[in-house]
Amino acid sequence: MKALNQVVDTLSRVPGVVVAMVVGATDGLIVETSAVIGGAGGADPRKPTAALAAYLYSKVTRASDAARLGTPAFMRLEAERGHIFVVGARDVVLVTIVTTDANLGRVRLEMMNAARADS
Amino acid sequence: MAIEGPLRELGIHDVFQLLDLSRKTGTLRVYSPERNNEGSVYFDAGTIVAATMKSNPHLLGTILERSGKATPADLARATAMQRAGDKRRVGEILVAHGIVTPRDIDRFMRQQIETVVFDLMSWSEGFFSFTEEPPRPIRKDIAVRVSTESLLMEGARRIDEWSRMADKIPDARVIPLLAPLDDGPESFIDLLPREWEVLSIIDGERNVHEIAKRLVLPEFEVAKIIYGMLSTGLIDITAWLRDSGGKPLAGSYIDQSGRDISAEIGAALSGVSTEVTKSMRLLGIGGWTAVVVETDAATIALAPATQEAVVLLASSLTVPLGLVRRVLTRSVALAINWMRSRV
Repeated sequence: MKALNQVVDTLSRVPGVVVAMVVGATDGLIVETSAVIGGAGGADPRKPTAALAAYLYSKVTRASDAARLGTPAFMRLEAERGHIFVVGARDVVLVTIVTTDANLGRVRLEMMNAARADS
Repeated sequence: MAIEGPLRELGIHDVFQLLDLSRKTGTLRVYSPERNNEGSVYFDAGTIVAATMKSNPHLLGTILERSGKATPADLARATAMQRAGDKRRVGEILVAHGIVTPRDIDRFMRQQIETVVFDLMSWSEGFFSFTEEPPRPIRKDIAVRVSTESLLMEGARRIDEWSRMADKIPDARVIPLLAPLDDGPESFIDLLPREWEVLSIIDGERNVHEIAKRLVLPEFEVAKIIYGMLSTGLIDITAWLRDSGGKPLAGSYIDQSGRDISAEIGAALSGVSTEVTKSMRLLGIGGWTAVVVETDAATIALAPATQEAVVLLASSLTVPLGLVRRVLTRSVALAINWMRSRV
């Protein structure tokens, strides 16, 4: 299995990724994280993002179960000034905060590859 | 003497029956603030002679043009004559010029009356008022008289049929979406011309009511066609609207076994909107605009419509993500308008 620090390191190098994290899928606690790119001075977004990502992932997993639509493979939360991407990988989730001008398709692909390598 | 009151106290079926049995002559107006709509039915000695609906006028000229009986030029000439002072109706002018026959007018006016009356018969809320008036003068050979009793019987049959379709089409706000092509062996679709017409304007944005309005067809007829297509898997129903607590506001999500599972999904996602809104404030990246989830079997998308409502959308994985996003945006706009119309 690829080391978790390698996973976040690879993801954080993708253009547009502000931060990459590995988060506990049920508790929302950060397991591994990259530094926040361009985050000097502002509030650290990692803990609230990790908690939100785990919460949302568990909610959509329940909804997906109710609809018998299988396991969520990729989730994207869009906001006015940024996106949060979440990919499930066993008992953890990979989370990135991405700028709106990033190549979203590439970030998605890198995250899916990282999740596959991790499982 | 005027007869008026709320429909919840005297149902529309009873109102029609009362006017029929007492052989009334005048105008029945039915108004629903909830639907933002109004219908008028004209009676002559208990028999229905004309009917109009504000939201879906089904103008005789449009129906004649659509059926190929009259050309746009014929209609333009008739309306120009009206503007020049001719007091006759468009139908009367077209008959006088030999463009259509009294029989054509009879058939289409009957269709117009039936559309309005059957639509009104599905209303359980709103108000009615009947005003006695002298009968409207019209040429005898093109005057239509439709038995109220026979309309009531046909209306009851249609209500029964609607209830059978309710598992897939609970109301006219349902938005049909073309189903993706499967990888199975090539198959041929055998559709009637009217079914093709409906199929050709299904775009994942218009609901049953809007499709009916666009095609100048009764909602019931469009719903029946869509029900048939749903049953054969030609189309899917995917968009629905929930409040922030997950309770249904409009629409449905029908699974492969024909069961509406929108309430279960709504309940599983209850509270998401509030929680995401709260977190967005902490993160400082602006308000949330959408959550898109790809699962093994489908794409689920949700977006805030108002503070109290969330639009949910589900589609097959073969529908491109960009299209899902576009339909979601459009659904949000429609939901906002719909919510406003109900305030």
